[in-house]
Amino acid sequence: MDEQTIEVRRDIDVILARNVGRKMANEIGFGELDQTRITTAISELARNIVIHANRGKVVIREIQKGDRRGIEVVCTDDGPGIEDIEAALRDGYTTAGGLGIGMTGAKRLMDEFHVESVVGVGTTVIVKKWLR
Amino acid sequence: MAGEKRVAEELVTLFEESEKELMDLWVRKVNQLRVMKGLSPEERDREFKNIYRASLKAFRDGDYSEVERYANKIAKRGALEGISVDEILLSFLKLRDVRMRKIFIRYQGDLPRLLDALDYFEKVSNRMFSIVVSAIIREREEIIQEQQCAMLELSTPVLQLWDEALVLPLIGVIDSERAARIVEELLGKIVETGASVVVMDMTGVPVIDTAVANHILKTVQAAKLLGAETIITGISPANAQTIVTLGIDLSMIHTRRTLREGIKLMYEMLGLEFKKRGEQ
Amino acid sequence: MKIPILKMEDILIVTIQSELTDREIEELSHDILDMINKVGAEGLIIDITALKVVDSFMARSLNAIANAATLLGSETVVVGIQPAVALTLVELGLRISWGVKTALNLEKGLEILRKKKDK
Ligand SMILES: Nc1ncnc2c1ncn2[C@@H]1O[C@H](COP(=O)(O)OP(=O)(O)O)[C@@H](O)[C@H]1O
Ligand SMILES: [Mg+2]
Repeated sequence: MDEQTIEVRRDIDVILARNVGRKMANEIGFGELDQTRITTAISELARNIVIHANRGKVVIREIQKGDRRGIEVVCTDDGPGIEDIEAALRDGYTTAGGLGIGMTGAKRLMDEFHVESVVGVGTTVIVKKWLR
Repeated sequence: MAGEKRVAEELVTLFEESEKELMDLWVRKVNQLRVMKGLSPEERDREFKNIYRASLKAFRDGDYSEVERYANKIAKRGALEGISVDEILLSFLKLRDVRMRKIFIRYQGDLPRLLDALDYFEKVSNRMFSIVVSAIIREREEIIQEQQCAMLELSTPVLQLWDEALVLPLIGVIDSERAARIVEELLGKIVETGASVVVMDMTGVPVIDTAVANHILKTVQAAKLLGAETIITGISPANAQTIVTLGIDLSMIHTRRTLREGIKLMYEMLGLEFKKRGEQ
Repeated sequence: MKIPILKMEDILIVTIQSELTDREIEELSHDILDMINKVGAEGLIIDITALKVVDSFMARSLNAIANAATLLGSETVVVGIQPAVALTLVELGLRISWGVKTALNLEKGLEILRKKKDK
């Protein structure tokens, strides 16, 4: 099954990541609206890497569970980590003057959302969406 | 009510005069849906004409016996010949659509009469719709469980009244999935028609859960991003409760109790715009 | 790539034709405000028909441009949001911080600004 890795360092990589994401979502068979949701979630998470962690990577792959197909996006960085995850998962919470809806928004746009973060070690966010 | 009598007569005359036009349109719409393929064209034309005329009786003097007779017949045949529930209901709704459109065209310049006509039309149409649905349910008590999904997935007609106005009469049980589809359809339609006001009528929706209420709210907001205002009408007390529980800021939503009042508000919104444009 | 800013009577029209990097957005924002100041534009239309993704960063930037433009006396309308983008923005949670006027397309956007002016 298909898998692609995008190294994320600068804002232009965010555009790259979402273009790869859209293409893959399209190939898996997601419709226009879901493609937009997936691409937007990728954009939020990739941008968080650029803004909050400086550098990291985004891995996008096709997934399968039984006869369900879907897409998984794994965003990893070895940045500063998130001190207060609970707060970070609240609408409007930001430590960098953003809108503070990137994490919560990505969660709403996707079917599954998972975050792991250790201060001083880094952050991993995994999101999935299933084909209906 | 004397007024209602007059409206009834006007509507019957309108439907009688335009029988050929509306029948043609109706058949064409049903064909587009690619349903009712089980019937031969002659058979279908005959059945449709019968239904058309039976319903006129209901409009004329509130006599639904003919409608009931046909509803039972169709339900029975449908069950026998494997015509699906949504095929029957969709076809039936299409008749409602073509007639509603005709009413809008007929009374376009005359708001009070349009509203009276709509009131009466809604009342009779809803009653007929529920007769058909009950007939089908009776007929298919056992298999209904499996088919419930199909019935709930009735396509929702988005009616275009004027260049800038859409009406979306929601009917039946709305689950999350159907709600999601309605949202997409409506937004597409707004773009397609350039509508600036949408009336979403929920009179025909008995209950919604919070997920559906959420979908509706999202629609309102997304429509706004496309430049269209949404008016919601016919929210039942139970549904109002659900919406309130969501803690939604209702100030951003225009609501009216009935479709009639909603259309009036829409008229006002558009009317204001027209006036302003005229002032230039 | 420099994004052209069109002037039509006293309205500025900016058509975003491709995905923008953050730097490009910043530059654009700067150029627009500069231009408003120079020509004393009374209205600004930003056409994002071509954008297939608008994330919270882009939304915030548009918001910021609109706010600044308003401060300079130029009412702003964002036009051409695609239906899928609109719905996604709502699901993202945009309403919390979106104060920009929107219209379906360029014509409708112009209509809004003209109407405003006639008042
Ligand atoms: N990859 C990350 N590394 C470190 N901190 C992060 C990361 N992603 C998110 N955060 C923290 O979570 C907060 C909320 O993120 P988000 O919802 O995307 O809002 P915003 O990016 O607008 O601040 C951020 O302000 C930041 O403190
Ligand atoms: Mg963010």
